[in-house]
Amino acid sequence: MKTLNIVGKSLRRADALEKATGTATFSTDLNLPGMLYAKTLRSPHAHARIIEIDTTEAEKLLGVKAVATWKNTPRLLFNTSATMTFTLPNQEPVLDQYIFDNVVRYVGDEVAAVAAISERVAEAALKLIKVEYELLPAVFDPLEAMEESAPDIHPCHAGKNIPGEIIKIPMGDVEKGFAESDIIYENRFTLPIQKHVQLETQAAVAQVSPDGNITVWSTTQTPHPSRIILAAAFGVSQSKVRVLNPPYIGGGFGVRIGLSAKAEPIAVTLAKLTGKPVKVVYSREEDFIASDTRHAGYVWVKLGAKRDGTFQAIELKGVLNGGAYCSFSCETPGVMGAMGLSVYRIPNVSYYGHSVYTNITPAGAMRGFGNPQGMFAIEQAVDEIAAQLGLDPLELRKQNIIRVGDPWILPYSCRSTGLEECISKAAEELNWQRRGTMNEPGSKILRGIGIGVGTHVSNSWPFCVDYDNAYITVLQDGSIMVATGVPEMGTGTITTLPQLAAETIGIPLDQVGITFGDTLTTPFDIGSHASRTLYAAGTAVVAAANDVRRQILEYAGDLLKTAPEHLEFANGLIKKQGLRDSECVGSGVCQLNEVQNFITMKDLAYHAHLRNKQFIGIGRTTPPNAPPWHAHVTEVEVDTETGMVTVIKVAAAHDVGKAINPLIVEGQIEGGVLMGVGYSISEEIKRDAKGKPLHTSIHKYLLPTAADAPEIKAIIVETNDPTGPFGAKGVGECGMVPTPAAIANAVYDATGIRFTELPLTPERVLKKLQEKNKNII
Amino acid sequence: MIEQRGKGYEYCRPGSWEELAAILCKAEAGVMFLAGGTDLAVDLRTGKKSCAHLVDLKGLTELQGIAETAAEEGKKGEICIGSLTSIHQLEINPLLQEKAAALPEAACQLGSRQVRNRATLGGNLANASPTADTAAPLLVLDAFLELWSPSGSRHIPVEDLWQKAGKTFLAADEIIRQITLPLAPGRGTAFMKLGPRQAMDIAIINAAASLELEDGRISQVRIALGGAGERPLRMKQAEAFLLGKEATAEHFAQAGVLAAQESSPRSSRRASREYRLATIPVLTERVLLKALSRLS
Ligand SMILES: Cc1cc2nc3c(=O)[nH]c(=O)nc-3n(C[C@H](O)[C@H](O)[C@H](O)COP(=O)(O)OP(=O)(O)OC[C@H]3O[C@@H](n4cnc5c(N)ncnc54)[C@H](O)[C@@H]3O)c2cc1C
Repeated sequence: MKTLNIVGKSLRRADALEKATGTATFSTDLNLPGMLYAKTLRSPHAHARIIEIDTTEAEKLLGVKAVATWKNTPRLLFNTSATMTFTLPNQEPVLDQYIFDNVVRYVGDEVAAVAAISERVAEAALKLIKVEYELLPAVFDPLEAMEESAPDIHPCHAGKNIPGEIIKIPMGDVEKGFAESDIIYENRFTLPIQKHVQLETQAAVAQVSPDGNITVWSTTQTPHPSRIILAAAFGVSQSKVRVLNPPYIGGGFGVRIGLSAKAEPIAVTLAKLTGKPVKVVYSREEDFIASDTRHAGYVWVKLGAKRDGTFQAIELKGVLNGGAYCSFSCETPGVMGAMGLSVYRIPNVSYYGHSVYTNITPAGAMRGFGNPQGMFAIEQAVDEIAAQLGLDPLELRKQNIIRVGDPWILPYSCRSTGLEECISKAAEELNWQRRGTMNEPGSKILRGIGIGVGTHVSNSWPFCVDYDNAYITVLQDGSIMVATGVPEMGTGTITTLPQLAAETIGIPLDQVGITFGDTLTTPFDIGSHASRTLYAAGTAVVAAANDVRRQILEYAGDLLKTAPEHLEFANGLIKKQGLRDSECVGSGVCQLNEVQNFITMKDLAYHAHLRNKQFIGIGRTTPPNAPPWHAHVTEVEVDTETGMVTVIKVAAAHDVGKAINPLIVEGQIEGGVLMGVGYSISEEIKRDAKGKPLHTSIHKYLLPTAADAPEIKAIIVETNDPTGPFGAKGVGECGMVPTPAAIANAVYDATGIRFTELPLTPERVLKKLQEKNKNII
Repeated sequence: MIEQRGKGYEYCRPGSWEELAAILCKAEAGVMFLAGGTDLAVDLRTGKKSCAHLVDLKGLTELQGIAETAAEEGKKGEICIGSLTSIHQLEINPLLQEKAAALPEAACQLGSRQVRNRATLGGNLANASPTADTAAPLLVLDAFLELWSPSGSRHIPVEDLWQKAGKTFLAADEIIRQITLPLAPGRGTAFMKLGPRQAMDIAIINAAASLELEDGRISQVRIALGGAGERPLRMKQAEAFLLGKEATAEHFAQAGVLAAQESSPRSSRRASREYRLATIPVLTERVLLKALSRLS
């Protein structure tokens, strides 16, 4: 195998110095001459019709430049999520939003926005807007929202308040499979609302030129799809819209796949009304109440097995709470089913799932994308089957997991799996054999170990439109510029994509520049989500780099009078095969005509320049897809007198195909694990009876702090998937996927209690412990 | 500058007691004192509180510091803490760690490092949260407060500071100047906090205890809880029950049950009344055991 010089090394991130020294710029930092500030009036009601809206007093306030409402803004239906740009032709994208509407559908929904000379004036003006509402009946639970008597939130064709389509995935015959099973476990699981709490809140700055060209700097994870959405929402051609990151985004986790909630359209609306640049920055409270959350909801699982542990049939059903507008509400239940049914080799499987509109904050994409919800149910069912059959949960999993070549429901095949190795390594890290022997009789503090496994995607094809482009320009000194439409939202894109380019071409990493996250300077790319950026955009970068390398070797072949296949090209040096680097000294080839044995990339590029030639590589790919695999083994401690659950350690073993930059991969795994710990233990957004959210700040919403982080051991397993760049697969979301299940299984191991609802708050846990004690006495 | 929702206020930072007195005599109403601002700045911004005059106490540098007065003939030793002493200073003070362990133990669990650097002891007490982390330790340490106003100063036991959640008995122009802890050499004290997060979290319940033994029996005991009622509370029935008894886990558990009976917690977003009632005995027992372990 070819030795790698740059790929596979934990090289320093390209943005490290800027971010560590506070000089990196984000949307929130932008200031343009004459810029105005916008604030948004939000609905205090969960469901209401606006009868009357009077903005005259607000407009009179000194410093106010414009007030936007449903009356003076475009009435073009659109959707803030990128689904409206990449839903496959056999389905209709759901368009259910206006910039402002005369019906509000959740507490926090946009009613009006003010542009003024300062945020303070804009805020004062909001208080002067008079709105008369007619209250409408509201519904918050997805099961209730499907009842006939529930209010209709949007017109739907698939069923009462069901946005888009119902997802059905069948294979084999589940009835037959259950009939042939010796043992069946069945239960319903309940999942809470989780919030991304990305560091930078939703933000956008918009500028409209006198001839109508729109430029938007924003926090979007998908600049190109965002351009499509804005062009549609404002009825202009895409060529008149530029969307870019400035250049960084303070995290994403799925909260801005498409627009950054309504930050962009509100900024553009007000920029058009005032002729001035307008900045919108969501407060943390706005970010909590009026930007996408994870889908809460219900998951039913039924799993059947033979006495020897062989799985026979699985039935999975999901009803998710989509909230007031459809943001990935078809795709999320789709991924829940598609991933949940692809972990184990089961001949008979069936999935049925959908979301339901309710009068709460819209749910949308969030790290894991439905998969953690499904695996919370499935992995606990697997543990129950193991317990009932008296089998080791570890062995039962190894016995049933998908192997390369197995038939499965996915429309691409499984070409690599390191899941068995992941299970073994994670178990070894935590001394799995201690399980069952960790507690003294009568102890009030109990320890337990649990496992959860899973798979995910490396890309969103074939679930939605998904293609990538990149181009690489060789500059006159032999350094290169990579252009790619994906952003840098903290995941390391601008380090790892250059690593791929440098390795592929054969030049040092410091010779690579990159332009990214800008529709003006980069070719179309669907953006950063679906754990796809390195895998999918990377495929295009490698293709462009191969194109450049081919052109360079051809040129060098002519120059060195050697067939390209007899040339070596590494570390910026092109030379005849077999020649040692130490023999390649001296230069001046550019001006001379005598034949050389070698040439540096620098000289070659300049040689070409003097002869009116530049090398430009193009990569255009429809990347395939590949399954990353993961196993988490978790140790927890349960205080049986207070119900407190503490996660002590998580061993997270991940088959990432190939770690292009191991340190960045470990960071992704650790971050995903910690997000999963919060989801499992303390994070949730609850509402009062009228639908007003109770957890609206970082102080109220209990994210784990650094002090709460368990020891996390990230273990990288490499299987070199044949489809990925240098063998790489997705990793960004994966740390999240099996974490809740692994924690719940560990709590079961400690207490003997099966928890079917997250998060495992002390109150919830103590209640079950008390019930159990009562039953014993 | 601290933002106030809606309207402005006048800010001043007196550098002496005379200056402070003059400001207070002139200002008619709407005076509010500013210490670290970790409660007040938030409340002014959200509109929960509002003021016309914001009087910053940080100009009075003598309000900061921790000092011991040694015991003399007929007079016990004591530790005096200026009300503007930061929570972080309490946390790292060796004198307190040695002689009043419950207080630094509580201090190091308050908020986060950043919050503790700004937050002050006086602010924590005057904010009158039923779960203020320094309240229960001060109750079991028999702390008393020196209050100051333009019309003079007075001393009160810390217990007499609070009316109910968010409300003290301080007069409108009165500040806490100093917190005094009488020293009791043979005493073991401890603090514990119950909440789902290890940092940046207001306790569901917090508890402090102080114990002294004589011939193996409990000769002095104090138990205080936060989150058990409208204000930080001493658990006097539980204390009375323990007095004269042997310091056993069983007795401590019984004291815990009594403490729950004395409590009247409420339900909040953070925890239900039922959960608080269920965990008060546990925390009481555990904090007593911890205080006992500090005795030897
Ligand atoms: C993120 C965060 C986390 C927190 N975590 C905790 C926690 O874990 N535990 C906890 O107990 N608290 C916590 N708090 C609350 C707060 O930090 C403490 O109550 C702190 O001790 C308040 O002190 P301060 O100096 O900041 O008070 P300020 O905010 O300045 O004042 C608070 C109140 O006391 C009054 N006041 C201040 N000093 C005096 C004085 N000398 N005389 C009379 N009145 C006075 C003020 O007028 C005001 O009403 C937290 C706060 C934040 C923002």
